[in-house]
Formats: sequence, C-alpha cells, structure tokens
Amino acid sequence: MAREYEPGGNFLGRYLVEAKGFVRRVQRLPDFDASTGEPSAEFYDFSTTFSTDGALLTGAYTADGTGNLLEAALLAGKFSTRFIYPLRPTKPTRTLDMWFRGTGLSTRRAYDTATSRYSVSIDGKVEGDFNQFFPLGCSGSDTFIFRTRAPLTLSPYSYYYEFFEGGELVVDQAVATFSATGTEQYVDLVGHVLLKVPGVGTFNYDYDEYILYGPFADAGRCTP
Amino acid sequence: MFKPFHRICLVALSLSLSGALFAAGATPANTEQRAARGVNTAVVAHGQLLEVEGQFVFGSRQTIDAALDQLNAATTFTALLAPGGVTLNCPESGTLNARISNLWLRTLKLEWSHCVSVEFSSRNDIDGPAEVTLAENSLAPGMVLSIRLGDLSRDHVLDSRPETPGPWFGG
Repeated sequence: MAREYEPGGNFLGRYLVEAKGFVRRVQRLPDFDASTGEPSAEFYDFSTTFSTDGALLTGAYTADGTGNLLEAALLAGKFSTRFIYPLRPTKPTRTLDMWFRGTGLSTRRAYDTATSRYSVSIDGKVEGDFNQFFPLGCSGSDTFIFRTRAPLTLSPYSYYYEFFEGGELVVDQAVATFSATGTEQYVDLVGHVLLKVPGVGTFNYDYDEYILYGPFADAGRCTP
Repeated sequence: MFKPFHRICLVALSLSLSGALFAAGATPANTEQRAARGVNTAVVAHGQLLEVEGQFVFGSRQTIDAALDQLNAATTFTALLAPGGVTLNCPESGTLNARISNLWLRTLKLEWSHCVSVEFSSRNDIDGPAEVTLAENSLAPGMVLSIRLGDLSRDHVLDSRPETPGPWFGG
C-alpha cells in the first residue's frame, strides 16, 4: 500500500490486500417531525456496520492533469452491511441486512477533462441479496455477470449521481443501452434505458430521478 | 456526529493478477424482470465497491499515513525501539504512543489515547490501538505492508463531530 498522495487527496498506485474485520459507523442525528420537517431536540444513533471475513481487494488511482481514474475490485470474498435504525418516539427500531459476494467484480470511475464527464463501468460476477434495502420484494440472492461494452457516462445535468446519458452494459446475455434527453432536471431531463433480452424482446424505460427507484426498477421487482 | 469503530486487518499481497477469475455460473437474465433487476444490481454493485474501498482501504491508509507523518515530524525510527517507545502529545489533547515491537518484522504498534485534533471545522478524537508492518526502517516509508486497526479486545474509534454543534448534527 503506497503512501504517495496526489493533491486531490487520493493515494496513487495499485494496492492488493486481504481485508478482514468490520467498520461500524454511528451517526448521531435528530428525529424529524414528519409534518414540519423540524429536527427534534434529542439525538439518536444510526448504526451501519460493514464487515468481511477475508476479502481480496485491489484498486488503483491514477491522475493525468485534471482527468483521473479510480478502480476498485473485489476479486473474491463477501461483504455484509447491517443498518440499525434506532427506536424513536414515533418510529420503531429497524434492522436491514444486505450482502454481496464478488468474483472478479470490478468498477471504474473516470473523469475525462476533454468532455467534462464522469463515466463508470462494472465488470465481473456478483452474487448478492439487496432485497431488504432496495424493496424489490424478492427472496434470496441473485447472481449476475456484468460486462461494460461502453462506459456509462453520467449526465452533468442531473442532481443524481447514477443518471446515465450514454453507455452499454451486458448483464448475462441481456444488453442495456443508456441515453438521455434534455438538460434541466424536473423540466425536460429524462434518462432512457433500452433493454434487449435475447429470445424475449426489447423493453424501454424512462426515469427522471434516481434510477434505482424509477419505472426501470419496478420492472425488476419480484412482487408488486 | 460521526463515529466509526474499526477492527480491520489489511494485509498487502503481491500476487500477480492473471487469467479469468470467474466463469459463467449465473442463471441467465432471460426474462425482462430478471434482466432489469440485473441492471439495477450493477448500479448497486458499483456503489458498494466504492463504499468498500472507502470504508476498508482508504480510511485505514489515511489514518496510518497521518500517524506516520505525525511521528516522522517529531521523532525517529530508532527512538521507537525503546521499550516504552515514544509518546507524543496530540494537537489539542491526548497522546499517541508508538513503539517498534518487532524489529525483524518492522512491526509498529500505535496507541491513541483520546488524541484530539481539529481539521476542517471538525473535532476528531482517536482512541485505541493499531499495528502496522513497515516496508523499511523508516518513519517515512514509501509503502506499508499491512495495517491492523483495533485488536482482539478493543476497537479503534474515531469520534468526529463539528466544532460548533447545530440542530442537525452534533448531539
């Protein structure tokens, strides 16, 4: 693990590590009045615990002028996350769990100065259960293999990080093509996904906010 | 207020990466529902990988990097060979103790005792043990070989809160 730093605050060079253990983050926040949005005087502990019993991780950061590339990969191993929402006067305590296992699972996030665009890619195999956190109504884990044919470019016009204006992703044998029209969020900006599923058909989805909770996500839900 | 508790062990490896690391084995995304869920999962996995990198790797490296800078500015590798090591005062209050527990393995033991500093309007209090394997006999090594935050019985805890508590954060 090299110590060389670049001005943006990232360590340069590649690392390869075996990680074991946990990080538990506690954020002490007020409760919020649903009708007024005002914070309570009391503070409550919201806990998130990330853990692994031996994951093989690699990654790298490289910079070229103002352009940069961040790579992160889970070569093998499993990560689990547990969220504990505290008991508050108007809300019960809740515990949500999710986990995923990667096999050669990697992502890249690049910033291209020439186009002033971020782009992301995801490749490799994942098995995971995100059902409690993202209400998909499914039971058990899913396994997918990803291959990014063309990096997914992030729209600079959206407030949302994962709002793609270009790119192509293969999921097993299905192909998702991303595009966007418009330039103003909540006025005319719309993200489009064209999903081709071999032997089944071609499907179109539009979204205007967060991709994980839009009509596209609804299509993936197991139960209504 | 933000407070991470760590018990992390990071061991640097020097394997070369080669060949395909996975083979087909997934149930194919052969329905609209499953393919759509697959794309959603790709977006989630991207975010989770960045989260893992930030929580487990970057944060650990940053903690140890800052400690090495603090030690290198105030003492020497040789001084840390003393049985009790060296204890430094932290910027606001508390201490950081450092000692080389195994010269052959270059094992650096660190012990923060409510070591408080202020950075970016945030008051940071670090408490607990850590262990680092240095790559050379220096407090300014180009790299480290392993990092362990916390130990079998104790967490490494960073308590971070704004200097000026407000209604939204800082309870």
